[in-house]
Amino acid sequence: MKESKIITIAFILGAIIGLISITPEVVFTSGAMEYVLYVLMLVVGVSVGLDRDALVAMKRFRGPLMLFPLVILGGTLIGSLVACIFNPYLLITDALSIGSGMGYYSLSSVLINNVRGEVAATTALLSNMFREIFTLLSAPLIVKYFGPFATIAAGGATSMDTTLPIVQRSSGNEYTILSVYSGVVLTVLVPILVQVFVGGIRI
Amino acid sequence: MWIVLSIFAVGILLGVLLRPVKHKIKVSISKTTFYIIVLLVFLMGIQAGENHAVTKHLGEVLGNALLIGGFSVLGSMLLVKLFVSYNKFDIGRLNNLVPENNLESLIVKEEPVLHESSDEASEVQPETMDDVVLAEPENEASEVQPETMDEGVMAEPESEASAVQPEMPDDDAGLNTNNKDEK
Repeated sequence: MKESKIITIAFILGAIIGLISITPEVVFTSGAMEYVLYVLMLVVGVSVGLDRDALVAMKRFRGPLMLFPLVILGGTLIGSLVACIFNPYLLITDALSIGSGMGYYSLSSVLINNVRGEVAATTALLSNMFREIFTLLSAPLIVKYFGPFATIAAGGATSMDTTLPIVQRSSGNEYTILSVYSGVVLTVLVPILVQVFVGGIRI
Repeated sequence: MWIVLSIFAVGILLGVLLRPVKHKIKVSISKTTFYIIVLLVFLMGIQAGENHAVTKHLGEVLGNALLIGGFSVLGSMLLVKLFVSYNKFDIGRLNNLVPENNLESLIVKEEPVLHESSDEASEVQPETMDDVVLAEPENEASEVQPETMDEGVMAEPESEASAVQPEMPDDDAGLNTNNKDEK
């Protein structure tokens, strides 16, 4: 949670600085942010590639349970589409890209900001933060009404780190490895899916 | 879009190639990722603050965030519930799918499993890791990887073991997928 606080403070501090307009224009017109984003994607890729254990975890599951992260993803995307019904002004691609952040709010909002601008990015940041906070606070209720597997679903990509302790505590120790597996798969998928949806699914 | 995805793919490839020299990399990848994300989120905050559309429609932004977040969580939980009930997964099946030695490295046990009754435990209380292994001759998993067990799964005095909450597996415990606490 310490990292979450730092990221929230960084965003609020930035917003205050932005509000009083003391930032040199050159920061945003030079395309510096885009290059920093490229560096971020490279580093995230390296960390995924270096993590041998994560890939081993992905090979552990056989049969239908192997599809577990994809089921979570499917449910998330369906839920995002349903949100568009309640707010017709919401673009489907925006809802899908924000939803496919899967709780990985920092990376997804930065990726969305690069293409769709600040409004969509701020929505993504808040939406995915909400997912994590909801999981942390409501895990016992989730287990009660949706079963022990559902806490992993609620955590999304965070089920391998931030929400892992709460999965273990609420669902049970037996669900820890599935939680890690699911989190790893979804974390790898987040940047790909966000880019695909935010780019309008063009090939 | 393809530039970002290509860079991501190159990063994964680079990571795989760097695996043999992973221990020589002095820079913490997870910390580097975190600092870059903080920088980008800070810059994003500045942009959001400067953009009057965000500040003017903050209520709408918040409403949309809750709408998408709420329905996406609900959708994923419902679909998982359907998936689990359709396939009739149970925890026994889940355990069978994972090799025991790997499972042991991840899951923190509630209590030491070294004894049948508390009376016996008070008489024979192993103090070292070697004792733990010797006490479970039939458990192959413990024999092959004693170093993966951390102090959280070690034998503790009985009164404390029942009172203390089990700790999470730490960085040394098997699948350390590490690196993105900043989600």
